[in-house]
Amino acid sequence: MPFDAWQMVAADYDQAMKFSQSPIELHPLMDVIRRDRVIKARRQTPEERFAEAMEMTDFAFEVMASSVKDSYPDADAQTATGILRKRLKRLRTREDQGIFVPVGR
Amino acid sequence: MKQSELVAFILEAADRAGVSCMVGGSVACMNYMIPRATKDFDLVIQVQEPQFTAFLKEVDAQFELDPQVYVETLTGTKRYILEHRKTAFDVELFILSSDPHHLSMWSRKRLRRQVFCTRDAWTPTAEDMVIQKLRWARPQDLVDADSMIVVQGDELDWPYIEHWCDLHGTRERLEKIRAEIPPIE
Repeated sequence: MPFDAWQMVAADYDQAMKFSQSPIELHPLMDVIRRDRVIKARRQTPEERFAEAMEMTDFAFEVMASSVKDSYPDADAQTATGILRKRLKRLRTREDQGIFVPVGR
Repeated sequence: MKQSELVAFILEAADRAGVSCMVGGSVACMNYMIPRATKDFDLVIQVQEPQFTAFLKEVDAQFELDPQVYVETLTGTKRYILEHRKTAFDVELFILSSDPHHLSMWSRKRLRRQVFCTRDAWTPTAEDMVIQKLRWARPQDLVDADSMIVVQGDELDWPYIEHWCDLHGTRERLEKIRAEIPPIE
């Protein structure tokens, strides 16, 4: 994707932040939840926020690994890791488009 | 080994090898925004020999260096990827470039205590992460920039951010986010 196209994607951010895909009756509740999360984050120290993010990351990897095991119950640990790595690599390739390009080995 | 333990392992390896480094990307943003999970760990390093080779030797038991090198199109920054041998967690190594903002970010970095592994790590300021995220401007970058701005509020050094956004042509993105933030407290 050319860099200009990323700007078009970025323009969709407005819609994303306005929760346009969610039912309108939920918006007040979503606003309150976001407000509470912001207030909590403001009261934390930078170190506490970082520690919480690391806990979430550990948990996210456990969930992703479980998802692979669910899809491939016979896969051994090495194969399961390879499948997860492939999934995450597709995500990185998507994120890299327009920003990072591979150069000669 | 958990992902948080791998982050601690990398920081300790850099320390032992004497490599000058700074936490980068989304992991650095975590210090300043609503915490969220991440799929990898970014580390900005100043390449100097023999420290860099020593660092690669230190991490070799746990990580394999992907031979594919990537270049960031905006600044020419080189990126290497260290793949963990046993899990799908990667470390992205960014080589400190001569980009003016990257050099400014490097000079303003602060030593912060990382409580999850009880060690210190050099970390960019919130202002520099906002500037960086607005520059990349992918959907998640803009969400992160919004989160940092809303959490940090008036504590941010706005003239510094505005200066770099003007230079990068990203001022419009900044103002859009600022205009849409509702009153919180």
